[in-house]
Amino acid sequence: MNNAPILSVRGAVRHFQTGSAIVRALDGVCLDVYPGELIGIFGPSGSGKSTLLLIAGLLEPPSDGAVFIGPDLVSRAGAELDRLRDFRRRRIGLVFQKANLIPFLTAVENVALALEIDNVPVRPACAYAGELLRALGLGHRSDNYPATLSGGEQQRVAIARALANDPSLVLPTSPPLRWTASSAGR
Amino acid sequence: MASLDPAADPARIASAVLLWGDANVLSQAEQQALLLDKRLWKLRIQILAFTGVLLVVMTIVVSLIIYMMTIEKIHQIAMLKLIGARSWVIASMIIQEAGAVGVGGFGFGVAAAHLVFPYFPRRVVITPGDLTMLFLAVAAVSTFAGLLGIFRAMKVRAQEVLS
Repeated sequence: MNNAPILSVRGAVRHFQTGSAIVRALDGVCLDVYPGELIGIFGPSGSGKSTLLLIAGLLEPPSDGAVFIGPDLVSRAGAELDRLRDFRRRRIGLVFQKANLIPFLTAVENVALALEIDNVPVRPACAYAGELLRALGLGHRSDNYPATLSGGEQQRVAIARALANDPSLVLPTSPPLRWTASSAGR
Repeated sequence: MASLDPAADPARIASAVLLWGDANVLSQAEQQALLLDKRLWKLRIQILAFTGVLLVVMTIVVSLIIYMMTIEKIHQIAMLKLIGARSWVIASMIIQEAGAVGVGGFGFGVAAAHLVFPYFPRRVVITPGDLTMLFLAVAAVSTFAGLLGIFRAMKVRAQEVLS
């Protein structure tokens, strides 16, 4: 295992004000994720898993503490959301319980979109997206719209989209329930 | 109508006639203005007011269309933000959509005018200058509508995908 963590959350705090009460969703959480490491975070409902994911995934800045991606400090209290979006695009792949594909784009266009928003021209973006889909066993479904794909296939397209920018970190919001043994292997 | 001797001084004669009190002196250009421009002025104002109302209605309709199209795609916009799309990428998509609505509407309008105008009781002439003005008005309305859509899209949070 490499000594430098790819994701490092240091003393993350997230408090929410609900009326007169303060909900302490996170209270000084520290987490290190190393390259090649697979980590699962378990806990009862309301224990702050989603909040930790939002902060680690740069969707929200923490109230206090810091988030490092590799050696770079990318998020801390008051961090600008637009700047976090740039880091997210280049460094993090997010996979959700729902595939959240864009319904009027084909599978390959959905994957290519992640590259096109990073200024990759359409043709090479689609070519690379096609390669990713083939690697995930969906080459024959590239030109299909999400509505015509099964739940598992949609989830694999979402995974291809998350991997398109070659992120150093992939964060699934929940275990991909629709993965079959063969697709998990891929 | 009075014709002057070429050697006569028109200004001197005009001032002499004006001294009569019950007569007026009008040049040919002033006669044309009296007969045409002043008569047409009211009509022009009516057409201007009608055009203004049409422009306001067009702005409201196109803006509502773009706004509703943006609202329909809130989830996709949130998704784009979630995967890291920059604000200007999303804004340019909305502007392209507004532009397509504007150009499509303009093209349809011009084509429909060419088909329908021959059946009008009076001859309607649209000059290239009129078309340019109309296109500029459509472009301005589409831009305004696009900005309204962008304003709404910028308020979308990436986290909305997860809810």
